[in-house]
Amino acid sequence: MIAAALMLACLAGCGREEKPVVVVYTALDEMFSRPILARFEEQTGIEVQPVYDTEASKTTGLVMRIINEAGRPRADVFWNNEIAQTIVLKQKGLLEPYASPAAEAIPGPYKDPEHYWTGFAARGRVIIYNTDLVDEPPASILDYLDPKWKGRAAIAKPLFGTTATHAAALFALWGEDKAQTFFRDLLANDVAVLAGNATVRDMVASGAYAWGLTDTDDANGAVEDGLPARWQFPDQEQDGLGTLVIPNTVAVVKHAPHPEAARKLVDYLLEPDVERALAEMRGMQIPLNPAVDAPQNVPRMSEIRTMAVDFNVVAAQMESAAAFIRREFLK
Amino acid sequence: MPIIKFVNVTKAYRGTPVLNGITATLAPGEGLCLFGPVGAGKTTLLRLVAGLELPDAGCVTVDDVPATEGELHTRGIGMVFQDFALWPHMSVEKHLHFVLQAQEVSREKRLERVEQMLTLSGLAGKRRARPAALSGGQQQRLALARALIVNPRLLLLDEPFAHLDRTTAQQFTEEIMRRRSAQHISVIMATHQRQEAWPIVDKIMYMNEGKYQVGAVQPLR
Amino acid sequence: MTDRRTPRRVFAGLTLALFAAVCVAPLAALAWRSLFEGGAWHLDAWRAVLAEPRQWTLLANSLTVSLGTAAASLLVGGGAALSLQYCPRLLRAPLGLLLCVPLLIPPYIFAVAWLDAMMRTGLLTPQFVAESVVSPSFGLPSVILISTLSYYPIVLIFTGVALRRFDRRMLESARLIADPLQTFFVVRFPLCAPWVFTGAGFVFLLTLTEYSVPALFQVNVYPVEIFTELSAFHEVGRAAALVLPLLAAGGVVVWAWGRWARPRQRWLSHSGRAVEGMPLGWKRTSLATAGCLGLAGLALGAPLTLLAVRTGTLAQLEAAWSDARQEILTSLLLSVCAATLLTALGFAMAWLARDSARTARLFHWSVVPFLITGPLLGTGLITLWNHPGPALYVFETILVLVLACAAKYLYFAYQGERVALQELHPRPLEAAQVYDIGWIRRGLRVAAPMTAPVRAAIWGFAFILSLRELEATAMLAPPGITPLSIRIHSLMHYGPGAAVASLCLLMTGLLLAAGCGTAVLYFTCRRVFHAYH
Repeated sequence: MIAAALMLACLAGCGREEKPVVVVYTALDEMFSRPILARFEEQTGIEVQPVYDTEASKTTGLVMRIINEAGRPRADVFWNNEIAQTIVLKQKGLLEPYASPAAEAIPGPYKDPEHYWTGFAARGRVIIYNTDLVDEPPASILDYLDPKWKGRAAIAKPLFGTTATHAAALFALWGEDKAQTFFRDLLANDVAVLAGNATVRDMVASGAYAWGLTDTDDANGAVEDGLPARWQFPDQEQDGLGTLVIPNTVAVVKHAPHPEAARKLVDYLLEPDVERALAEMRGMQIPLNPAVDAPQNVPRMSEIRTMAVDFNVVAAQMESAAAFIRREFLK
Repeated sequence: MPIIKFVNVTKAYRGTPVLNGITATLAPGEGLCLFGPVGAGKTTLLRLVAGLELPDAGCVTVDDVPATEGELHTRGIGMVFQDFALWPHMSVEKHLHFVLQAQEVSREKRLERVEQMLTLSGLAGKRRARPAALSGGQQQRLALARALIVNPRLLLLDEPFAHLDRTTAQQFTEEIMRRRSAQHISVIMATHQRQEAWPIVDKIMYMNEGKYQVGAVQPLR
Repeated sequence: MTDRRTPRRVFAGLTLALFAAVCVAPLAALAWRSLFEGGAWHLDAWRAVLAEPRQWTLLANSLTVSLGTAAASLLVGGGAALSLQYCPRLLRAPLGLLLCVPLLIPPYIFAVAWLDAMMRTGLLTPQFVAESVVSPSFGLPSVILISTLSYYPIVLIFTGVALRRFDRRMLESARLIADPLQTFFVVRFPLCAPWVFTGAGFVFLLTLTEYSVPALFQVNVYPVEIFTELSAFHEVGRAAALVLPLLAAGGVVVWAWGRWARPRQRWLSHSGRAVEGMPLGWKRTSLATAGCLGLAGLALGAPLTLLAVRTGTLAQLEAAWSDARQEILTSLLLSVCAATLLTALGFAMAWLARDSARTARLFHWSVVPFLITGPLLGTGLITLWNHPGPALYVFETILVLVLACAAKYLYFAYQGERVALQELHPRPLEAAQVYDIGWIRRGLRVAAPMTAPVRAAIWGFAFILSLRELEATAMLAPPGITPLSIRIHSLMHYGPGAAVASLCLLMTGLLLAAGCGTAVLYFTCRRVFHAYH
């Protein structure tokens, strides 16, 4: 009985590879990435085997898989919906450099000079606010420290996802002392620390909190659903911090089992059509390629005052920022 | 006034009548033997008297009160179940203490009575043993001891000596006879071994296939 | 004369080898990875983690959640089981099944649906809900409440088993002497307690290793901390060190169960004379029935209603079914294989342990893969199987997921079989021995049929647990092989609410069918093999 059960399970997985295959670990939500990958499959005849992240893991689950599988990778391509963890993988020597011709149109700050990763289709870190509770929305993330918002603002736990990247970016920008003071003061001002960006969106839209930090895709979702919420880019004034814009990143995994197919997929994902398609979706990803003609409601990179950070420095700050956050936030 | 009355008692299991219109009485201090083959309804009748089951028709009264009315534990019944119904988590000693505690007997009295009963039943050496550690005969002795220690007015015995040797059975028989004469306790005993019932009972009810017949006990010469 | 010992040795060897492959090897791989990777010992990381002052908070939170949930489940589940006894006979089985349904819904779905439903109906204000997910004073009770609503059926089932086994003559003999309250506390409760506390112990272990609900309410417990260590810091060594307190707490409960509850479970055995439930009059019967219905409504009403409302139309459900057919088939195949492996291996281990206390002590360690949490178990399995060569027949197929489920739940299958074998009347086996029937045949042809009902129940539970499994399988699922639970969680962040809700309903439907199938299988086996008891 045992032998039969094991054989049945084994046979279920054997002999599946008869046509060309590419395995992509993708952190971008399935509802956005699946149609993109399906079109690649139609165009090239290469079967795409996607592995999506789960809500519980928020990207880091896939990163952990790539690290664990380092001895014999399963993944060919890592399509991350943010950047810092991709750079961490590069620093661990788990990525393969590939200079895709399609990457030429991507601006310099959003691609690796050594060609280990390329950014595309970005999200911005934005302030979402409840229109029933807020007349004059906060203009800066520093408003988290304003006593008038005591107990009325929310932030996602800065240990995972884009909020973790944002925290590391502040550490990179301000230095450790100033960044640590900021987060301590934030907690002292009773800012609610929620499970994730989606929770911030939901809680602000429901009126539990007046405003919070989230990503453009979450914020746009609230607006499209007709909830009493609007969003804006923070710190857009002349001498302001600027908004952190976090691109999707794509990279070839080192020792990928299907390197040819991997490169084809990278080329495809960096095409303008893909950025356009992602911009048109509910997630409203912002094209980095200036030639991409996005819908009217999608912000243009040229119109956003972005935070001036080097993502390599941000990635280097991830661990120390996370250690501090865990110490202060998880008591 | 009779302590127990059976008035047209009828009981069936899965459509098969086990008791069919039984009418009989038992006076205070009297002993009745229920005799018949397996499945004749002896245990069923005992359970009806104890108030553990309802008849399908007719009535069983104890002191003119229907057996199923009122609180079971207030009627002074001691019962030996066919399969003993011992409590597996209690030691021999604990069995006897518990039933006396339920009657709110004082500690000194309890200790005295428990010791007496342990000696009578020959279980003094097994006082701390749980039922699983006792043999079939020892378990039966414990069941008898538990029924007798509460000084019942009415003693219901279901095959009480099936697993006992002759000497021990004789000891218990003498104890029951002593209580019958000293305390006027009534006894109903179900058995398919008539000779063990003769010294204890005055009447015998023959039961078989729903029919019954009551007669006085005629000891064999 | 043939050597009778050879087949037995072969059987023992195969069982031990399979036990090692399923249970021991992943742990060894994890230990190697966390302690010795790179050719040097990494004990410093372990010492550093365990010396942190935060460990006390983690321990306090973990124990509070687990003990609180176990205690609350005891009250709710035990009370529900007793109340069922006093419900009208015709309603007992359907009500009992209804009360068990919450066990089939994964706790995370439960929590999200419950919160959402309360908000939508206005029973909770957004502010209150917000407080419950950010404030420690709300978070802990919220976790305990949600976990209790999800896990109380375990205590209900164990209490129900105890009540079914309770020979009513024991109760009757007490009722002739003592009042109902004394009878309950001196006879009924002590005899049922080992079973009831077994159920509570099971709840304790499940809650101790639960990640999703504490994470939602941001309560810092060890599974959350382990996940953080792996995901935010990629530190396998530190994450593995955090397992030690879980092993200690779980080990104490397992030890206490083995010493106190298991030997006393034998006090109740199948007598065929279950307590029928005393007739109480229509008022009390109505109260008992209303109580059971109220609990079912509270536990099930919110999540199922919300899932149904969010699904919207039957067409949506059909669309979800077509879209997820592959994942559903994958889940069913995974669960069938895992349940079969668990049941067969569990029986083999129990049969072997029956004659050897040393082997029994060895097999106790099968609880460790469960206690180390899913992500670490997944890490161990990857380290063990991700190598070129024959190992790929495991790692690249659904077999790696089967092994993950088997490793995680082997302890429960083994203990279930062990209890069943210990309750076997010894005479049939002795008779087989007298007739010179060999050791393996006695196990397969005498003991196994006699314990078939229990095996059916174990198979069913293993099927359900494997169908729900997420934390270990999320790390391991080979590309192209996606169980339904992973699909649901992939969509949860940004999937359309209707799609997620309909998949959740499908999952609940599958689990419900599995639960009903288990019940049918169990009672069929009981009817067929009842003569052997």
